[in-house]
Amino acid sequence: MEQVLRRKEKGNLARAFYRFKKNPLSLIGLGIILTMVLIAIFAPFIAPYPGDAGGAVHFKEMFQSPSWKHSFGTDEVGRDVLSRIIFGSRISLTLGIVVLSVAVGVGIPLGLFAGYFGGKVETVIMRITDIFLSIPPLVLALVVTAVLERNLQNSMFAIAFTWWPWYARLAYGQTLSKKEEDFVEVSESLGASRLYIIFGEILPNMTSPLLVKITLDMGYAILAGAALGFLGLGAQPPTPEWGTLVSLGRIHLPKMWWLSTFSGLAIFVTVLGFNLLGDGLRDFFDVEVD
Amino acid sequence: MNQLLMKTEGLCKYFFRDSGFLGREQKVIKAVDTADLEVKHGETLALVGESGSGKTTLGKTMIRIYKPTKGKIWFEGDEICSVEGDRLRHYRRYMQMVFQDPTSALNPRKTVLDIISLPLRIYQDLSRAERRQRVKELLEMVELPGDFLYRYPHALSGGEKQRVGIARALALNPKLIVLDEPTSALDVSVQAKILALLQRLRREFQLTYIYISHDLSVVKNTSDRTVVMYLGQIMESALTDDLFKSPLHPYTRALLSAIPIISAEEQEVIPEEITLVGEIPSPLEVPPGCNFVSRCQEKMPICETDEPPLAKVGNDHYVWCHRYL
Repeated sequence: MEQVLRRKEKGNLARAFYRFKKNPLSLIGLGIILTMVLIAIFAPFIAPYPGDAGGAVHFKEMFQSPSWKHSFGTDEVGRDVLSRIIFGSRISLTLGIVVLSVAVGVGIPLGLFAGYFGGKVETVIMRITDIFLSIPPLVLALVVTAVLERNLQNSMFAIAFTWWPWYARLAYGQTLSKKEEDFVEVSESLGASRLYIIFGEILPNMTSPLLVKITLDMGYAILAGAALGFLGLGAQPPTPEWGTLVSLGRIHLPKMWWLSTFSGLAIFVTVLGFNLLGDGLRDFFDVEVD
Repeated sequence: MNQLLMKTEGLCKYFFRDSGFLGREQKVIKAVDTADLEVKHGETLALVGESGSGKTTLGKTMIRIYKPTKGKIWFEGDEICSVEGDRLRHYRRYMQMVFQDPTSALNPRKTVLDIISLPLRIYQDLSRAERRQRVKELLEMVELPGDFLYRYPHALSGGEKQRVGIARALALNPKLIVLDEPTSALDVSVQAKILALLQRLRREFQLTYIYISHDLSVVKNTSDRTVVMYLGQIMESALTDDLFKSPLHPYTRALLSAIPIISAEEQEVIPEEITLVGEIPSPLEVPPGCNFVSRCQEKMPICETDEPPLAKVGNDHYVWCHRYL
């Protein structure tokens, strides 16, 4: 009998996937992201010139336009642009994952505590959150990176530093509505611990909006990382970070157009992929995220 | 049977709301005001009253879901109004609640097994298999098939959800269950089945019920004693038969006259129709004197100024009204 039920749950999953499939745009988004992840994982095997990811120099081949040998051309020291962009996917995806792990890990518990406990806890947490939200994220990230040493780790930290308040707000709003439900009162009256009620009863009820927001934000975080790189405040050369690549290629525009164009396209396609998937998930779960 | 299970004395539950500039004024909502009650072992005590009369708040305060503002509660002779922490947990397992809205009472992200297991996980040291066995037994008690274990609430009907809620309330072998309008969110056909189930469980496990309802025809058939509430205060308390035969408080009489009548037999019992004018006043602006004064059709000058005293008018029949002094 249990076997039958288990199969039925699986049936629900299959139906969910069917519903998701009916939205072709989100499937395209999913396809883009899966491709990006595979490229990032297998970068050393896919890149035609894996050695060019770092500080290699081949002056004989500098500034070659796209050809069969170098599909995306070569840069000012003769490195293969395609190989560098392929390795850049590792950096962008890592940045997105790290930034969102920190933002979710910090913001969600704070929002849960503020919403559940109320009173002074709420006032302190939510006013700090409001202060952070009142400063444009990129400006705040610029300030943080300007103070610290310019490298990839610090740019991730700077973006995460501006990102958690959105998750605190999301969790706070969700908690306020969920904690009024009777099942929370049941757990309280049974004497369940507060941590269990917060993380065991309330948190599972916000997974759908959370998943949608994380997916959409992956794109935006990658974009913010590229922006810092472009401004020279993120990853430093010779790291093949996409924003940095766009910035380095900019001085050779418009003649050596392939330098900035292809790295810019890589950013564009990735962000688009996460957005399409996020929108698809939003329709699928039927939730609102701010 | 006539042993006292629970007794309250001067039980109050006030809610405070900040208002005015920067919350400098504090308004007091007297949701339950000086409630004196006795609950006997094995009886069904009905709390009736219109919406906003504080019957749910009283039920939740009695079993310490809400912290009382003032007053005393005795449970089997122990004063439980001021106990906290582990001592409170000790008493809580004997006092459970079934909620009005079965959808809100079950976490949509949990399976039936998880939902009914929760009290077992908190209070009993059982292995996973033992817990599952116990949950299966509980499902059987509420007449649900054992294969419901892995279902989520969205896959259950309203009546099935309420049965799961009842199973959860039964998990720790409680003595007292507060039933907060357990059938009002259900279809009429399902209501009768749930009521029959509750009756059976009461006999089987010697349970005591506090039955909160505004459905007087159900109260008449299911409860031993009835307490009528209005605006946070108890107006009248009597054996159900007495109350329906000879309601004394003007509010009780108005309430009973509003029951839809089907049979001629009922027609004789129920007083001629009294229509109350106006709405129940806001609990923020409780009138001085008797709480019911603004709508009472038999008010006297003293009702405007003095709170009504308690009058014992018969065996186990009490009324809080100036007319019966």
